[in-house]
Amino acid sequence: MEIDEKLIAEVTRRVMEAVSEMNASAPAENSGVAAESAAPVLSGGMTVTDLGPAEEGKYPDEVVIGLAPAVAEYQTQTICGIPHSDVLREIAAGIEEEGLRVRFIKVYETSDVAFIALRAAKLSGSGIGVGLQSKGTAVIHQKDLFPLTNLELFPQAPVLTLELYRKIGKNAARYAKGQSPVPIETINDCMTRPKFQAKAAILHIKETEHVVGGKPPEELRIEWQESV
Amino acid sequence: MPDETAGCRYVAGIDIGNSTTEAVIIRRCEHRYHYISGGMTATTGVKGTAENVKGCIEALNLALHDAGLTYSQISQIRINEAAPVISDLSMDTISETTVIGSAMIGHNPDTPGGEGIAVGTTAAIDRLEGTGELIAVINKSYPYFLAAKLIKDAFARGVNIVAAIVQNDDGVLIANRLDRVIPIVDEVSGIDKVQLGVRAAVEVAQNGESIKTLSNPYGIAGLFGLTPEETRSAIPVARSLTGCRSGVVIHAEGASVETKKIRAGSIRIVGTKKTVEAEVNSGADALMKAAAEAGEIIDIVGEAGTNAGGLLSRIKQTMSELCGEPLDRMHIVDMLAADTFSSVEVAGAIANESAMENVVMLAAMVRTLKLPMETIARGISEQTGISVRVAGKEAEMALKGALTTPGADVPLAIIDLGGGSTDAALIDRSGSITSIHHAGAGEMVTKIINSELDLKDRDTAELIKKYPLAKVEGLLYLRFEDGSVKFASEPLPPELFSRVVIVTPDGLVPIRSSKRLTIDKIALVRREAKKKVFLVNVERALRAVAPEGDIRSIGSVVLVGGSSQDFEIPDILSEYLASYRIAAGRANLLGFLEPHSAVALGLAMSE
Repeated sequence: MEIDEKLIAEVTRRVMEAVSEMNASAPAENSGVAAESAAPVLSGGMTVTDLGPAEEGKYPDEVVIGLAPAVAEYQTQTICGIPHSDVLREIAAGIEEEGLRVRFIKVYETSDVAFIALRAAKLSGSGIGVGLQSKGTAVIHQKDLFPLTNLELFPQAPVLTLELYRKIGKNAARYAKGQSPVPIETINDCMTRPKFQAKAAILHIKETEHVVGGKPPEELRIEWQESV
Repeated sequence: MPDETAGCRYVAGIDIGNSTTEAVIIRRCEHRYHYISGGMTATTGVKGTAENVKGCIEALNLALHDAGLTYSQISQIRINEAAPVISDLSMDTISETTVIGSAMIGHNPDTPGGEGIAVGTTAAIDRLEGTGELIAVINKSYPYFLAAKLIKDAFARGVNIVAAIVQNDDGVLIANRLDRVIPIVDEVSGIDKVQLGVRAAVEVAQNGESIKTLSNPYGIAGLFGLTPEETRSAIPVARSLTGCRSGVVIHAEGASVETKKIRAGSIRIVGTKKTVEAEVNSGADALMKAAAEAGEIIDIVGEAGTNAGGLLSRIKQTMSELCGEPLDRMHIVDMLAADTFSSVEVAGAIANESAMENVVMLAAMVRTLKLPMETIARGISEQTGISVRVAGKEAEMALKGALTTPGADVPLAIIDLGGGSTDAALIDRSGSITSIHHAGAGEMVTKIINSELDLKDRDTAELIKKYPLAKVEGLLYLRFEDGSVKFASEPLPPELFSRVVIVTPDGLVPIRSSKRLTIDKIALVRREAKKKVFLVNVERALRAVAPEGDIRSIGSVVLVGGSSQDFEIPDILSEYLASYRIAAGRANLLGFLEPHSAVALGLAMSE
C-alpha cells in the first residue's frame, strides 16, 4: 500500500532527525566516527589488568560490572563505534557519582548478556550487577531474579549513547542503595533490527568464539588515561 | 416453619449513588425481617438520570442470582429519592515565583559533591587565575576527570579555588578526585546564565541535612555584607533555598527572586443572613469563615475577569451541561475550600528549579431541579414487571439502615462520606430528622494528593488514597508503612524491586515518579489531605444538624458511605470526635453488613 510506505518513510525521517539532534547536543569534541555513532571521543584508552579469580563482594556499597568474553580484549568498540573504554568509564562514573564503588569482572562461560549480568549480580555485595556485551547491549540485574528476567534491559545497542551508559550506571547504583529510580527511557528504533541484524549476529558469533566453558570469572582492574 | 413463611414477602431496596448502585433484598414477615442478599455495581450515567436504570437492573440481578430468586418472587422494589445536589471541583494557583537574572540556583541535585560553604568570584574552568577566592564554573564540554585535573593544576599553581558549579551530573566524581574538600553543586543545566567575575556563594550540606546559611537571609547578608535594605530583598532567595541540600547564591547587579501573589480575585457569597465578600488570596480558612458568616448559602459568584470568577463559572458550566439545565439556573449552595500546593517550574530558573506554589482548591455544590426519580422507577418497573416505589429521602433511609448497627440508638447522627459530597443526618428521640449536604469528599482528597505529590496521574492518586503503602526491599519481602514485614511465597516481579508500592487487593502497584517520594512523604500527604477535607466537613456537618449547633449534644455518630470503608479515615475521625466526647465508628449494619449498604437496607426496611 502506498500510504504505508509514506508512513514508514516519514517515521524513518523523524527518527533520524531525533537521532541527529541527540548527536548535535552531545559534547563538543564530536569525532568523525561512523555516521550513526553519537560517540564523542573522551579519552585515549584504558589499561586492563587481570587480578585473578573474582570473589564474592562482602560490602553492600558496590556494583559489579560483568563483561562478555570479548569486551575490551578482542573487540574495542560497540556496534556503532563507541570505544569500550568510554562505555565502561561512563557506566563506572554513573555508579561513582551515586557514591558507590565499582568492580569489574570478565565472564568466560557464556556470551549471553542476561547470564553475564546475573553472574555479576551474584558476585556483587549489593546484589546488583550490570552486564555488557561487545556490541554494546547492556542489562541491570539483581541476584535473586531468574536469569531471563531483569531490572532494566537495553536491547538495542545501536541507539545507546554515552549519556545513556552513564544513566545505566546511575540507576544500577540507585537500585543498590534501595532507592526507587525511574526506569531509563531509550529510543526504540524499529529500523535498527533490519539495519544492524547482520552486524549484530557477526559480533555475537565473535563474542561466542571466546567463550571458555567452565572458566570462572576473573576480576579486572581498569585504569583510564585521564587526559585528552 | 410454615407459620413463619406465611405472610412473608421479599422486598428489594436499590440505592443509586454518585459512583455505585447497590441492591439489598430482605424477607419481611410481619414485624421481622431477614437479610437475604445484596449486589453492587457501578452507577450507569449521572446520578438521577434515566440512564441509571441499567445499573439498577444489574445490581438487582446480582442480588437475585446470589439468593436464587426470580423477578416474580419480589413483591416490591424501593428506590431512593436522591438529594438534588451534585458537586464539582476546581483549583487555581495563587502565587508565582520568578527569578530575575542569575540570582540563585536553589535546586536539589541528588548527588552534590563535597560539603561546606564558600564565597568567591565566579571564573570559567579554563581561566582559573588570580589571587582571590575563586568559584570554578564548569560547563559540560569538560568531562569530570579533565575538570578535576584543571582544578588540581590550579591548586598546584597556588590559585585558591573554594567551590565549583558544574553543568553535568559530576559533583561527586570531581570531589573524589580532589585532595581538598570544597562544595560542588552540579546539574546546573542553564550554566551559561551564570555570570562570570561576580561574587557568589556555594553551600552543600551533609547527607540528610539541608543548607543552613544560604537559606537564612541574615546568612546571605553576612556573606555579602548587605545593608538592611538589601537583606530584605534577599528573603525570597533564602525562602526558595529552604530545605535544599545544596544551593548557590549569585550576588550580581540587578538579579533578584520574587515571589508574588497572583491576584486571584474575590468571591461574593450570598447567604440567608448576609452577603459576604472574601479574597481568594486570603486562603481557605478565611473563605470558610466567610461562608459560615453568610448563613445558608443561596449562591456564590466570582469577580468577573479574575481566576476566582473563572473557577466558579467553570463549575457552573460543567454542572449545567451535566444536568441539561440552563446556566443561569445553576446556583452554588455550598463550597469547601482547601489550601494546597503544586509544583510549578520557576520562571527564569537556571537549573530547572521548581517552586511549590500555593493553590486554592474549591469544591462547590449546585442545587438542581428535582431529579426525575419517577422516570427511573417506571423504567425499572417496565423491565422487571415488579412494582417500584420512590420510598424516601436518602438521609432518612441511611439513618434507618444505620440504626440496625448493634449498639446504636436514637439520638443518632450519621455522616455519609461519599465521593462528591459529605452528608449528615440526625434523628432525635422524637424521631424527627434533620439533614444537610456539603460539597467536598473523596474526590477532593484524590485531587489534593495528585497535586501535592505532583503525580499528574489521577488513577495512582486514587489508589494512594485507598490503600496502604509498602516498600519492596528485596524480591522476597516487603516492608509496610507501619514497619511490619511480610515475606512473599513467590518472588515478586522485578519491576517492583526497590519501589514504593500500593498494596491493593488486586496486587502491588508501583509508584513511578521522578520526584523522590519516600514512603513517609506519601503517607503524610495522604493523611493531611484526608484531614483537610473530612475533618472540616464533618465538623461543619455536625454543627449544622446538631440541636442549636452544639456538637457535644450529639451522643454518637455512625459513619456510612464509600469513604467510611477507607482504612484510616474512620480512625482519623473518631480520634477527632473523641475530643467532643462523641462515640464515632463505622456502621456495622445488622451486625455483619458493610456500611455502604446503609441506604439500600433502609429502603428495603421502610414501611
